[in-house]
Formats: sequence, structure tokens, C-alpha cells
Amino acid sequence: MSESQTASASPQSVKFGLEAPNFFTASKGLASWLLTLDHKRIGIMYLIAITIAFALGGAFALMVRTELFFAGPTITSDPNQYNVWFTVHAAMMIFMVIIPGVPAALGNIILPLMLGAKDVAFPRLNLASFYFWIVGSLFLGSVLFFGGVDTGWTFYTPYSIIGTGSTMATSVYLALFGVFILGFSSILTGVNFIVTIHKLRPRVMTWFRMPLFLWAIYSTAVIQVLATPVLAITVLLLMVENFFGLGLFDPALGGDPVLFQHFFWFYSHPAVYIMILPAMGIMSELISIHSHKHVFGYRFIAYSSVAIAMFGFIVWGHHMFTSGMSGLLNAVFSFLTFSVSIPSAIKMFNWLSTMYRGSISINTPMLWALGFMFNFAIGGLTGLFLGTLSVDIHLHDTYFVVAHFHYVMMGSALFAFFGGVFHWWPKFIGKMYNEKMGMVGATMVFWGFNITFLPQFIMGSQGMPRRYYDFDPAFLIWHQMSTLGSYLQAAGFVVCAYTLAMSLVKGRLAPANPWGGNSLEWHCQSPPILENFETVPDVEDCYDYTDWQYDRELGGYVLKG
Amino acid sequence: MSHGHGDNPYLGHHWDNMEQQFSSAKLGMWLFMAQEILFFSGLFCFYAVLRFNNPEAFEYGHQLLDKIMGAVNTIVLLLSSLTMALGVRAAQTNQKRATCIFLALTFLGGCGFMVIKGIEYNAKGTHGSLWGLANFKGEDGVQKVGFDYGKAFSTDLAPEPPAERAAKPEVASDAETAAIEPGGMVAEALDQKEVRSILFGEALPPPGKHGGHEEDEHAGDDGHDHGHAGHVEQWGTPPPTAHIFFSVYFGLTALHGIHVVVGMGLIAWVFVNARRGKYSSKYFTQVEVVGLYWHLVDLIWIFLFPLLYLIS
Ligand SMILES: [Cu+2]
Repeated sequence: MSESQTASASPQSVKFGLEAPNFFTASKGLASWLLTLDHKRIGIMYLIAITIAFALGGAFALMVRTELFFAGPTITSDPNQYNVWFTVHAAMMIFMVIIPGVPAALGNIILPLMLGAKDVAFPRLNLASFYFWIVGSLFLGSVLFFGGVDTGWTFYTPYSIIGTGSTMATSVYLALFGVFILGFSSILTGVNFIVTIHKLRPRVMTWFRMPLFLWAIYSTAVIQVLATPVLAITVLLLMVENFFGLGLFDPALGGDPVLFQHFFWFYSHPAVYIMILPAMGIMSELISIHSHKHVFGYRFIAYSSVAIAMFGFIVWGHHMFTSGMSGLLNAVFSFLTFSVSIPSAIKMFNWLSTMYRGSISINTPMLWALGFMFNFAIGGLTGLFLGTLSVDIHLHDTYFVVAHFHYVMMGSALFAFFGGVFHWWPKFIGKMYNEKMGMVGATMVFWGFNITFLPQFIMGSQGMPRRYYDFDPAFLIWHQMSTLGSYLQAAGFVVCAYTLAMSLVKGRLAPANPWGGNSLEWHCQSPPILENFETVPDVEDCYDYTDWQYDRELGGYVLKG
Repeated sequence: MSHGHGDNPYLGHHWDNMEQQFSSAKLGMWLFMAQEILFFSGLFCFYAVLRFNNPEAFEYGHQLLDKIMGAVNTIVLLLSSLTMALGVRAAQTNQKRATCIFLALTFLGGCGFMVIKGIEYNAKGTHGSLWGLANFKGEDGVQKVGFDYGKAFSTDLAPEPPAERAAKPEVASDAETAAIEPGGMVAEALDQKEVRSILFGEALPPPGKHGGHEEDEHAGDDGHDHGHAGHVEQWGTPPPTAHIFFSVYFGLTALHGIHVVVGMGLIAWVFVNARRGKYSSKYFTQVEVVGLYWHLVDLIWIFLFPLLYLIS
């Protein structure tokens, strides 16, 4: 494979990426960013916007946790206010942060680079998706000025059917409309990425030579295109139901509230995979590159992404075991749910096998990846408890569920996202961050996270229901642990943000290939030029690292010979 | 945008050639249409569940729709699909004049469809066959606010035999005077009436009066001129769930209508471009893609028409 590889950048530009012409210097001024069609700039705008949403959603999480530090009133005496906080926290984190996080933000920056393409297939549509995200987020965020929403992020009927006279009504319309628009942002990104992967791959990159991150993004995009429209129609009908009193979901008008749950979860279970699949894609890259070893079981990992995407469509009923479905349907959904664990386990074992006898670099991206492995094992295995019909009847709507999905959504999806940010940061920013500080931040978040959510498994199994403002004093110690853990996490994120911010100020210039990766993005300059590559090298096996050797003076890897 | 390759001004900088750009645009459009189909599939699932739960509503409601109008609209839309296809063909073969004419005809077809739809909506408005419990009055002009809340909440999904439902006494009363669970309903019903008065210019009924007087005002409008008893004789007594059929009817047709309007906007856009001579055998992606969208809009109507108008 080595003979076909050619260095794409001169040693000079490898060494002084930021000083050479790059996409930052290609044009200047605010308008050149806001109206840009460049996928890297759009990706960076996404990252900035998502960081703001993450901080806001995180603030609400801290308020929720603080309120639960003592039984009874702590920082508010209004239980409805508490309901608003957890609803806004969840709605923001899911629709504004995690769903667009990896695909739209990181995917935008990395996908064309990995493909050796100049841009995504439809740059204008890409910018439009970004502004759909902005408009949808503004709608969703604006509920804060109208008293907030207290329905839970699931908008279950009849909670969410509110007469036009209620004070909550405006907020519910705004939130639903926001989700509708955010959904379109997600669909259009999915369409764009599928076409990009189909049509803009270099000739030498066949489907089974694609980096596994691209397989994950591709499977994700398929779910985005096929599942999101069902959410769109559901929230649209809920809005119309609220406004015109149609009688589709409202039992008072002859509607069927469980119908809403079916439609909501038909989207929202696959949406779990919109969040976790791209994270798994990042994992495959991080584990292989930082273990300096060829990824184990490439085809299994690739196929398991597709399998997860398919299975994801037929398991939604496991959210509704207590909603009055028939016993047969419950049993079928329970069985199907177990089937999803197979492809997930395949991935875990393949990553472990990749690490086995590799020479593992312990650095910031790898710490996030190891955190993912630990958290995803817990999150995945506790998912089996919840998928088991009889156990779920006991655990349904308790803190056990809260802990489970935080282990998957945050402990896994977001951990991989942050791992990806630290992994590709030198590539798209062109600066190295302080490795020690990055590792301190990652470690703090890891411990904070586990201190927050492990106690919630215990509380949940003992019967502490979720979404409650008050609790039995018997749970006090667990709630207090959980709250303290959340503060540690927040501090950890501050350290992470500080690390990245400082890298902009005084980080050393990044080499083209700081980690020794071999997929195409490591063959171009850091940060890339406007059209990414001067010439696209022919890379046949992106997980074969044998051609690269470490250059101490450069602080990065260079091709041998 | 800088080019530096190829001679076609419409080739984006990140494509190798026109071929690749065109096939990508088409793939993108097909994916978008898959998304649209899923969107409407969701609606069709709602339709199926609601029809299974309330068969009597659908059996009753469909008779009130004007099959002739629906059929005419189907033909109008099919013809416009034909002219669209001819327009795309003309664009591919460098016939600028023909392209413009066919696109204009397609646009007119869309207009015709919307006008007929508007006439139908208006007729429904006049008769009070509207969405939701608070708006639906049935052809006898009597508002049904007596829905059995307890029954609706029962977990048993098996539909009640229509005969049993029809046999129940109707509570014919005005929204203001009827007390209905839950408490918020009356206030909501008032708002629905306001909405309707805005949409259809109907006068709000004076409080305490029977809603039936509206029927007298508009008795001659539809040209059929059948009286109160005539309606019941012709179509039977409306079942208590009849409003659900009209919710579904308005929901589906309005969403389809929005797609027609968007399609007309797109056709207007390619028409303007076509007049400027943008399209030729070398570049016709936009016409082709808009054409695909228009065929999809047509296809959805082909499903909607029998599902709503032709229930037996
Ligand atoms: Cu699920």
C-alpha cells in the first residue's frame, strides 16, 4: 500500500500550517463567515452555536440537580418551575446539542476531508441547514420568555394538549415549532451527507475502504432522512390539534393519546441511534489511531452500523410497556430490543480487540474514548434490564431510566463527541492544546459523570420516580452525591473549554498529522486550504499506519522515505 | 465561486464534471422525496388508525365530500403532471419557447387545483362540516358537543358497532351552554369559533342561541337546496365521531395543498429562469428536479383521492 501514497503537502506547509494560506485566511470579515459555503466554516459555526446551547442546557441541568440537593424546596418553591427546568434541559440537549453535534458539526468539518472532497455535495443546502438549526433553536429557546414548557421533552398527550386560554399554550406552540424546524435541519443534513458519500468518494476509495466514521455517518444520515419526517408530521399534527381541536390525540375529543406515543417513539428511538451511531464512528477512529494498530474486524463494524440503523426502526415499543399495549406486542418489542444489543456488542468487542497488544497513547482523545468504553458498557447493559419486560414494569419511569439514558446519551455520545473535538481540533484549528490540561478536564468529567449517575441506578432500583420535585429523605444521600458529581462535571467542562481556548492563544502550531492517522484528513495541511487538498493521495487502507513515523522535531508524524 | 475547470458556468467548483453534478442533484432530490413520502406515510398511518377506531365517522363523512370536484381535481393534476413532463423534455431538447409554455400550463394546472379545492373548502365551511368537535356541526347545522368522554378514554381499542353509536341520543346544544369534561373545553370551543369566523367570514352565533340558524342563511348557497330533514334522509344522522373524519380530511388535504403551493412557487422560479434562457441540453437540472417534485405532489393526491372521497 505504501507505494501508492504520496505526500500532498510540502514540508514547509506541514510545519507552519497556520502561516500558510488556509481556509481561515481565505477571506475576511463577518459576512464571509455568516454567508460562507465552505463546509469547514459552517462546521465551526455549528460548533460555536452548539457550545452555547450546551452551556444553556447544562445550566438547567445544574439547576435541576441543585434543587434536588435537599428534599422539599431548595432553590424554588414552585414544582412547576422544576418541571420547566428538566423539560428545557432535555429538549435543548437532545434537539439542539446531541442530534446535530456529531453529524452536523464534526461531520461537516471532517466528512469532506476524509473523502478527499472539496466540499459537501450541496454547499448552499448545507448553509440552509445551519440556519434552519438557528431558527429552530431560537423558537425552542424562546419558550424561556413565555413561561417555559413543562410537558417533558416527549410532549406526551394529553399533557401537551393545552387550551388556547392557558399560559403555557404559547410556549408549547413555540417549542413544537422549534422541534419541527430543527427536524428539517437534520433531514437536509442527512440528504446532503448521503449524496456526498455516494458521489464524491475518490476513485480508489471503495465502500469497504471508507473510514468507519463515514459508515457511521452514512447510517446516521439514512435514519435522519427516514425517521425525522415522522417526527415532523407528529409535532405538526400536535400543533394543529392544539390550535384547532382536531380530535386526533385528545381523548376529550375522541382522539387516541397512545397514538401520539407510537409516532413519537417511532422517531425518537431511531433518534437514539442518530445520537450514538456517529459517536461509535468516532470511537472506531480514535481507538485505532491512538492504539496505533489496524482496526480489528473492519467489515463487522461497518455492517453493525447498518444493522443498528435497521433494527432501530422496529423497537420503539419498548418505551411503552406500561402504556397499555397488548401483551403480545410488549413481548415482541422486548424481544426485538434485545436484538439491537448484538451489533452494539460487536462494536465493543472489536474496539477491545483493536486495543489488544496495540501501543496505546494515553492522551486527551484516548481518555475520552476509554471513558466511552466504560460508560457505554454500563449504559448498554442496563438497557437490557429495561428491555426485559418484567423488570421494566418495576423500573419504568424511575431514576434507573434516567441513569441509563444519561450513560448512553451523555456518557457515550457526548464523550465520543468531545473525544472527536480534541482529536480533530489540531486539524481544523491548526493549534495544539495543552495535553496535560486536556487530560485533567477529561478525567474530571469522567469522575463527575459517574458520581452523578451511578447513585441514580441505586435510587431508581429502590423506587425513586423520575421527574419528581420532592423525594423521600431516605434518598437524600444519593441525591446529594449525584448533585456534587454534577458540579464536578461542570468544573471539568470549564477546564476543557479553557484548554481549547488557551490553545488558540498560545498553542504551538499543529503538524499535519499529530497522531499518526492515515485516513485522508491527515494527509492535508492543518488547517486545510480552502479547497482542502492540492492533490488527493491514493490511500488504499486508511487503518494501515506503517508508513508513518514520528518526527520529534516536528511533534507529529511524517511519511517514511 | 471560482471554476478553473470545464466550460459550463453552472458547474459548481467541487464537482469534476456536469455528469457528476447532475446525478448528485437527482439523487439528492430522490432522497428528499423519500423524506416527503415518509412524511405522508405518517399521515396515512394516522388515517388508518383513526379509520379503524371510528369506521362510522368515515362512512358518514365521505358522503359529504363532492366526488365530482375531487375527480375533476385529479384530472387537472394528472394533466399538469403531463405538461410538466413535456416541459422537462422541451428543456432537454433546447426548445425554450415550448419549455416556457409547458411550465406556464403546469402552473395554471396548479392554480386550477387550488381554486377547486378552495370552492370545496368554502362549501364545507358553509355547511359547518369542519374539523374538530367544536367546529363540526353536521349538515343539519347542529353542533355536536355531547361526546362521550368516558367511552373515548376506555383502553379497549375495538370500535363500537356503528349502529349502536348512531342509536344514542344526540345532545344538540350550543358550546356555551353545554358543560363538557374536561373543564377547559368550553373556553376552547369559543376560540375555535373565532378562528372559523376569521377563516370563513362567518358570523359568530349570539350567545344562548341555537347554532342552527346558520343553515337557513346559507340554505341556497350550494344549489341543492335540501332542507333539514333532507340531510338526515340522504346521509343519515351524523355519528358522534363525525368530526374526526373532517379533521383528517382537512389535515391531509391542507398539507397536500401546501405542497402544491410550494410546487407552484418552484415552477414559477424555473419558468423565470427558462425565459432567461438558462436551460439547455447542457444544463437542465433545476427543471428536472422541480418536475420530480411536481410528480410526487401529483402522486400523493392519487392516494388521497380514493382514501377520502371513495370510501364504501
Ligand atoms: Cu428506545
